[in-house]
Amino acid sequence: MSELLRAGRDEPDLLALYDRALPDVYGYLLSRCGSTAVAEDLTAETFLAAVTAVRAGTAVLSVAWLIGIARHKLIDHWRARSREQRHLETAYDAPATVEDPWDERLDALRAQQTLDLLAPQHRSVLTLRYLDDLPVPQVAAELGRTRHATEALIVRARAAFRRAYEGSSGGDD
Amino acid sequence: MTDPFHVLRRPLVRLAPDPAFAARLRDRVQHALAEGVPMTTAPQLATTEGDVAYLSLQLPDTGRAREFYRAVLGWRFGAGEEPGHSAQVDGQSLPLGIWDGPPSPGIRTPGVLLVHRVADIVASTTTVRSLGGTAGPPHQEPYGVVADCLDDQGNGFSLLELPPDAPRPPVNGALPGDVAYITISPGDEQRASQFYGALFGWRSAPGNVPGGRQVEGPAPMIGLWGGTGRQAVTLMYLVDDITQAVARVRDAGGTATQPEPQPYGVTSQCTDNQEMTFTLGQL
Repeated sequence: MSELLRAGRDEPDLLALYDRALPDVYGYLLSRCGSTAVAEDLTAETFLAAVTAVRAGTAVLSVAWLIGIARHKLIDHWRARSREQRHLETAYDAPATVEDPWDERLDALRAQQTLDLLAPQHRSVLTLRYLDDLPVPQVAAELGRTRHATEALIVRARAAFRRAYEGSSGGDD
Repeated sequence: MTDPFHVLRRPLVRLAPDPAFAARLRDRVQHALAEGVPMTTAPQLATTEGDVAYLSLQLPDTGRAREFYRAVLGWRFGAGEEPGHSAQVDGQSLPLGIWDGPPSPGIRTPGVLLVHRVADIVASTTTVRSLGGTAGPPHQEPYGVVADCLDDQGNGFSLLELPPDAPRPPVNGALPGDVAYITISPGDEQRASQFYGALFGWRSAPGNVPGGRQVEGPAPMIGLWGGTGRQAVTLMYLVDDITQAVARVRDAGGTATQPEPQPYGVTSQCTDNQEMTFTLGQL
């Protein structure tokens, strides 16, 4: 009988959640980073961070909580890549304060390929805002930026996306 | 005009990773969790400290409580005992009693007084005081040396000195009507975790409910819950057939919720015929 109650305790619970939530976490990450190797690394980091949270007493033990951790890991991953590619970003970061209306119907596959071409910080903000469909204040919180800076970043990221998307359509280059 | 960027929206999809990767990561998680439980730092023997050795239901009317618990849980009471303030329950794994005299310090009626076992009562009362609680002088009773205490949040409890070889109660009860689990709602579960952790050497980990902590070590099993319960201590009683037990609660003038499955069994939240809350568990 004691075994039954113990099975409801916390350490076995995270393992039970692992069995249930692994495809959710992996699916979230793979569909956003597009690389099996990166998705596996970030999935491992997500669950090991969950173990740390269980020990610290801050675990919530739900799929949504794990997806939240996975999102942080994804942004950290792009942040690290962003540091490696800082020289590239400045080129992408040309001011784009005025956005032309753009009513083209985007092709989903080409849109995904376009994201792969973007600078990491643009990819991060577009992923949070559009792929994850988070409201701007939450995007700002995830990125540790002010709301105003986040809105400006979204405008720049959309402009960069549009350039890359249109550039990828017009023949060879 | 809709924003073309909304085509990027990616609802959550479940994708199973490579099975070999999944198995390796599961091992890593299991290993990391095991490392987080420092079982080796405290010998198993030390965990008798803080076991509940006795408990007392403190209610307005002992006579009505006897009727209720006899009918619902099949409790038997000491033979030849005259009706009075106190009634001792016979034959359950953990000794317990009912009391309708003046409540113990820090206990609101209806409520439950827990008597925790310690190896050295003088040392433990000193620790209680050093942690911001209060402890009366240890005194001899027929069943041992006891001290009445308050924790640092004003919740009442008692200490009882027992020799190291005294038997322990079962972790989740053994017989129908046994206490199978004890929930302590001290107000602030983090403070309680620190207080009782320092006093008894208990460790605790977050539990299945928000604000809940599962204590490791004591018997019967104990959880801390920071929620604002009416009672500081709530008992779960073991039953064989929860459907029948729920019917008995209602027949005896109490209330019971429909039984609900939990990870560890089926439970019902109840009140007795004097507004004492408790839980039934078919485990």
